Amino acid sequence: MILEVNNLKKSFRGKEVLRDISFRAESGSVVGILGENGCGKSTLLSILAGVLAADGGTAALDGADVLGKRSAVRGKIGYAPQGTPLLEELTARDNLRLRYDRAEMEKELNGGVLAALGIDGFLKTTVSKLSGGMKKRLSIGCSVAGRPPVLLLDEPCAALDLSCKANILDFIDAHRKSGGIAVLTSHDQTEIATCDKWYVMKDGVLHEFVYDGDIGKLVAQF
Amino acid sequence: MEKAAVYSLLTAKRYFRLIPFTLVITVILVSVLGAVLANVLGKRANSEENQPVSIAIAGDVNDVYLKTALDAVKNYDMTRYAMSFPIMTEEEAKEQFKNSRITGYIVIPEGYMKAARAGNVESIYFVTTSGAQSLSSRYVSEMIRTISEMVVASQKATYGYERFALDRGVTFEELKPSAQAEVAKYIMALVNRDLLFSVNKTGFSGASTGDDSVVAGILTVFLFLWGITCCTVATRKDVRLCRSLGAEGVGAGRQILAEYAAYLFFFFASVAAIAALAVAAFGIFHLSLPGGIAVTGEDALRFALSLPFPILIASSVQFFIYEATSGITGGVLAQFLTAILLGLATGCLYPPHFFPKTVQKIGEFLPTGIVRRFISEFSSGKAPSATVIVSGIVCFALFTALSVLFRKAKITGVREG
Repeated sequence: MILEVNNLKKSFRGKEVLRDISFRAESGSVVGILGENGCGKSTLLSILAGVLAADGGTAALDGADVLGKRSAVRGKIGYAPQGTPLLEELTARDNLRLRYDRAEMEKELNGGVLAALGIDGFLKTTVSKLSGGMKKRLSIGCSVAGRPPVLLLDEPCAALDLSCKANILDFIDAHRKSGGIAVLTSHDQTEIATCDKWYVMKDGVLHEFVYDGDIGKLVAQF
Repeated sequence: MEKAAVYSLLTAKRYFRLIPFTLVITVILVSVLGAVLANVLGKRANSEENQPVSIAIAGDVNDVYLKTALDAVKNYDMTRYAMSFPIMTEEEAKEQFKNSRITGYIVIPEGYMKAARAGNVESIYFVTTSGAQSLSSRYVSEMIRTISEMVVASQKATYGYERFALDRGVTFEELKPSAQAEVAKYIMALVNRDLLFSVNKTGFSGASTGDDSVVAGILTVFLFLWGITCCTVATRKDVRLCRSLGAEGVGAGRQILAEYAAYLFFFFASVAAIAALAVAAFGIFHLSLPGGIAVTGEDALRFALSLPFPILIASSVQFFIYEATSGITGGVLAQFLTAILLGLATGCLYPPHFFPKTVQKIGEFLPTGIVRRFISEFSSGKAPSATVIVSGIVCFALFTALSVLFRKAKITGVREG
């Protein structure tokens, strides 16, 4: 499985946010998109998720168009935006019901991805009463309904405690090992270390970078 | 199940979790608007137009036939609540008229009845203010003409009947009881002439007093203000959730339809519960509106049945307002101002004829104007006009389409990091 993005462009009110973005991700890999706040990382993921329309360029998953009608890639790309897009007044189970059919949800809760994310421990709790970490795990749990092979994760570990972070990173690692692709944006050193491929976004342009654990070198790219 | 349908059900669940809050806001709304209604109807009931018109009768009122006629008019079914006819001397009448205690007075000239019996009719004269063109004065003039004609016609008939009987050898003493009985019968036929035609009583809402229009106006404002009860859910529109759903194939249009369906369902359910209570209260406990206006359970039901179409219009407007605003304060303020300002402009809270004709005309096609007209027409037993129905459908479609456009802009238009 290959996710291929070529010359992707996006402007907001005449200002170019993404300029000829190109990258490639293969099965069993985690791609990290790094960069300053507001540089366009989330915009790139939103376009790949089908939320925003690109102004130009192409993106394909095993040859199937990702930017157009998306019918060929429906269910193959999971998207967890920044924050926690959840129905706050309802329970964790209700939120899962929005993304899963009943049988699939029960299966994933019993030893599946939802169990791996530890969601089975707070199923009946109203979302507004959950901690930030629980909400994030639930949000990721929602985005992986149907086990999509490609995951687009926008700052998946932002503002989480170490235990939650470890839980999510384990999940990403398991996804990679199962042959999936994960594209994540991040500012977090541990998250960055999980990636197999790194790109730094600056002035709307994506530059490939080899991260060797030296955060100073990485920051110098920004 | 289709994802949009699940989303709609879950949104409905969010609204139904609000029931305690909805109940509190609804009680406040009903109380406030009930007080407004009581005030408006109370004022109308106590206003000059609704007070009995008092016309004094002075002069030669001692004749037995005239007394019978006056008694009959005093008890005349159609006028006894609207008019009173106190008998007094001409001086007393002048004094009371001067002090505005009576609207006018009738003076029956001395020997009027005797002259009438002899076939010579003198004029009864009526003294009133120069505002004789007002509705009440015209009504009074009409009554005076009726009384005058009635008395004259009665006397002519009695006189003719008397001559006819006496010419055939019947003595005056023998004739008197039967003559009086005939006259009484004649008078009763005149004063009860409303019985000669059938009156289709449609109850409170069919009354021509305009009270039904006041109730329709207040109900309209209530429907438009009701949106406030949903503020805690309706204002919490998480753009990230919208985007996330968009990525999963539930686009702006389907999101709006799913959310709107839930909103509409909750609106219907809430209003149905309130309407059921109102119908039961008016039907079982025979409650009245202020001003002594009796409302039957049937009347309340008719109003309740008129609400589904208005709810469709009001909900589409409210939904759009929540879509176009952000935050509880903004949403509630916008709902409140929209309901009150549109209510004022379309005559729901204030008589529309105070506004220029152009404003009145535009007001008819504003959402509150359409809703008020629909409720008013439907509850009075008439089929709502095609203009009202078409305007309502256009209004609903327009605001729903605007909501979709705003949602689309919200999902795609905001620059991300």
